[in-house]
Amino acid sequence: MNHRSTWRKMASATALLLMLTACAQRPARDEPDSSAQAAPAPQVQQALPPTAETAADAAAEAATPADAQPPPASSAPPVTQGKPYAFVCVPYDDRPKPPPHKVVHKDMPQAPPAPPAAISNTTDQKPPSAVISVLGKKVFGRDGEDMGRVVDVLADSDGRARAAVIDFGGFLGVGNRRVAVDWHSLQIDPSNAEKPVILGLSREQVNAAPEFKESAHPEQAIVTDRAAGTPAAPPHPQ
Amino acid sequence: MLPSGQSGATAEVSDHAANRGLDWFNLCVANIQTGFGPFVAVYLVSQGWTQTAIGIALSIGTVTAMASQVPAGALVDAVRSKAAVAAISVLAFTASALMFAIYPIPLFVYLAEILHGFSSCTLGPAVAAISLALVGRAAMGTRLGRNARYASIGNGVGAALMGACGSYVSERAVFFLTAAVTLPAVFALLPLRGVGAIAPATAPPDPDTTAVVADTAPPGAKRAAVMRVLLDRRLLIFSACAMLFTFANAPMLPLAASTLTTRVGHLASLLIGACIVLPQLIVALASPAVGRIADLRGRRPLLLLGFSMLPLRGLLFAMMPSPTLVVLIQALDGIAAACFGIMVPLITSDVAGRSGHYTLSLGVVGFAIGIGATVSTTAAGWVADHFGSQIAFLGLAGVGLAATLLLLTFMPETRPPQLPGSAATDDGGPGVVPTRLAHTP
Repeated sequence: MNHRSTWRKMASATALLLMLTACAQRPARDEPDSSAQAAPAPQVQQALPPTAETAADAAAEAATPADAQPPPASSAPPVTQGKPYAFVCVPYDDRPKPPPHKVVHKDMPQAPPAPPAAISNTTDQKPPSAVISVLGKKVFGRDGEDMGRVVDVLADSDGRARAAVIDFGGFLGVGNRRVAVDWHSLQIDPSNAEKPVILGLSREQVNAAPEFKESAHPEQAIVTDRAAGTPAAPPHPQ
Repeated sequence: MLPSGQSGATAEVSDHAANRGLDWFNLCVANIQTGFGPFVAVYLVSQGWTQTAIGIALSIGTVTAMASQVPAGALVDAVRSKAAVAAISVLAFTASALMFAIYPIPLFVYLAEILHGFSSCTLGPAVAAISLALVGRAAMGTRLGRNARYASIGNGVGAALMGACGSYVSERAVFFLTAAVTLPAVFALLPLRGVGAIAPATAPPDPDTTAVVADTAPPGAKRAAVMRVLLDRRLLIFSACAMLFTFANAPMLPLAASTLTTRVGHLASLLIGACIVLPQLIVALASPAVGRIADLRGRRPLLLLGFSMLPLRGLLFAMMPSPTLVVLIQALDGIAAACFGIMVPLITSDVAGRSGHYTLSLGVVGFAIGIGATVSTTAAGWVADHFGSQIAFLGLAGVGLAATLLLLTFMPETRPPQLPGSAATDDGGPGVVPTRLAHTP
C-alpha cells in the first residue's frame, strides 16, 4: 500500500513537472502567443467573479493525477479554440467587429475578401471546432480501460461517418477482433492529448458484437448504444 | 576467418565456442523474428495506416518470402561462408527494423518487408548449413534439437519482451528493441566464422566439399544432379506432408486466440500470450530429447508423433473448451512444433545433405510450407466466417489427419542406415549428455 501511494505521488509529481515544463516551454517557443495565452485566463476569472476561489480549487484538483488533462487543455484552447473559451471569446470578438464589417460591406464591396469567412464563423455561434485524426488512435472505455484502436471509419451515402471499426484484444497481433461501433457511441475530445477517443459502450457489449468483415453488409454489424439489451442484433435500418 | 590449421585441443575449444555461438545466434534470431510477423499490422495501425495499405505491405512481405525461398536456398548453397550469409541476413533485419521504427512511410515499409522476406529465406537455410557443417550428419538431429531449444527460448522471451514493450512503452519501441537484439546476434556468429572453411579440409564428406565438386562439374551434369535431389521421392512426399501440416497448423492458434478474445474480454491478451509462450516452453524442454531420439531411433516415430498432435488439437479445440483448457491444449502444439521444427532440416539433410544442394532442398520444403500457411489462413478464415469456428477446427483436424495418414503410408525412414545408434552420441558436442537414452521411448 505504501509503495503504491508513493508511486502515485511520484507519478503525480512527475506529471506536474511535465506540465510545468510544457507550460514553460510554450511561451519560449512562440513569444507572440504568450500574450494571447495570458489574455483569456484572466477573462475566465472575470467572467466568473464570485467563483475565483473555486477556480483555484479546480486548478488544485486538476493537479491530481486522476485527470492530468486540464492543464494541457488550458494551454491548448488559445490555439485550437476549445469549448471553455467559446463563451468568453466569441461575444468579446463579436461585438466590436460586426458593425464595422457590415458598414464596410455596404460602402466598398471589393475591400473585404477575407473577413466574411470570419463573420460566418463567429455569427452562427459555432467556432470551427478542433479536429483530430482518429485512424490509429487508441480507444478507451469510460472507466479508462483500453478498448483497442480505430482502424477504419464507415461512411454512408451522405458522406457522414456512421461507424468506427475498432480492433481490440489479441497479443502481438495474434487473436485480435474487429467490431464496428456506432459513430455516436464515440466521444471525441481533441483537446485531450492522452485519451481523445472515448467509447460509450461496455466491454461486454463490444465482446458480444459480431465480428466486422469487409465483404459482408457492414451496416448490419454496427453496435449501437440503443442495442444495449441485445448488442448482438443491433436494430439498424438498412 | 579463423586459421584453418587448428587441431587437437584448440579445435575442440573452438568447436565448443562454435556450438555455444550457434545457440546464442538461434536465440537472438528467434527473438528478432517475434517483432516482425503479425505485429507489423498492429504497429502500422498505430501509425494511422489504412487497412488497404497494411494489406499491401503484408502481401509484399508474403510474396517476397514465397518467391525467394528456392532462389535463396540456391544462393546459400553457392556462397562458401554460411556464417557471412547469416550475418548479412541479420544485418538486413536490423535495417528493416530501423526502417519500420524511423520511417513508417509506404516506401520504407515496403522496402523493409522485401528485405525481411528475403533475408528470412537465406537465414534459416544458412543456420541449417552451419549446423550440418559443424557437427556432421551423424549428430545433426542432436544439434538441430539444440537449435530448436534455443530458438524457442528466444521466441518465448521475445514474445514476453516485445509484448511488454508494445503495451507499456510503445509499438514503435518494439522495432528499436528488435534492431538492438540484432547486435548480439552478429556477435554470436563470431566463433562460427570458420565453420564453412574448416569443414572441407577436415571432413571430406561434408556438404561444402561436394558443393565445390558440383560447381566444377559441367553445367549439364550439375543440372541433372539438382533435379535428382529435388525430385527425390522422399523429399517430394515430405514436402507434401509439410504443406498439409502447416495448412492444418498455421490457422489454429489465431482461430483459438480470436475465440478467446470473444469470450474472455480483457484477460484475453494475457491468455493469448500464454497460448504463445507455453508451446515455446514445451519445445525448449522437449527438443533436445527429440533430436537425440531422431539420431538414435529414427525420424519416423517422431514425425508421426508430431503430426498426430494436429487432429487431436483440432478436435479438442472444436469441443469449445474453457479458456484455461485452451491454453493447456496449446501444449500439444509445443510437442508438434518440437518434432516438426527439427524434422524439416533433419530429413532434408538426410535426403540432400551430401549433394551440395542442401539449402536449395530446404528452400523447396520451405516453399511448400509457405504455400500451406498462406492458403490455409485464408481458407480457415473463410470457413470460420461461414460455418463457425467449430467447423473450421474440425476441418483443420481433418487436414491434419490426412497429413498423418500420408506420412504413415508413404514416408519412409530417412535416417542414414550406415550409422549405428551410438555414433550420434560420440559426436554429440558439448553440453549433450548421452545417458539414459536407452530408456526413452
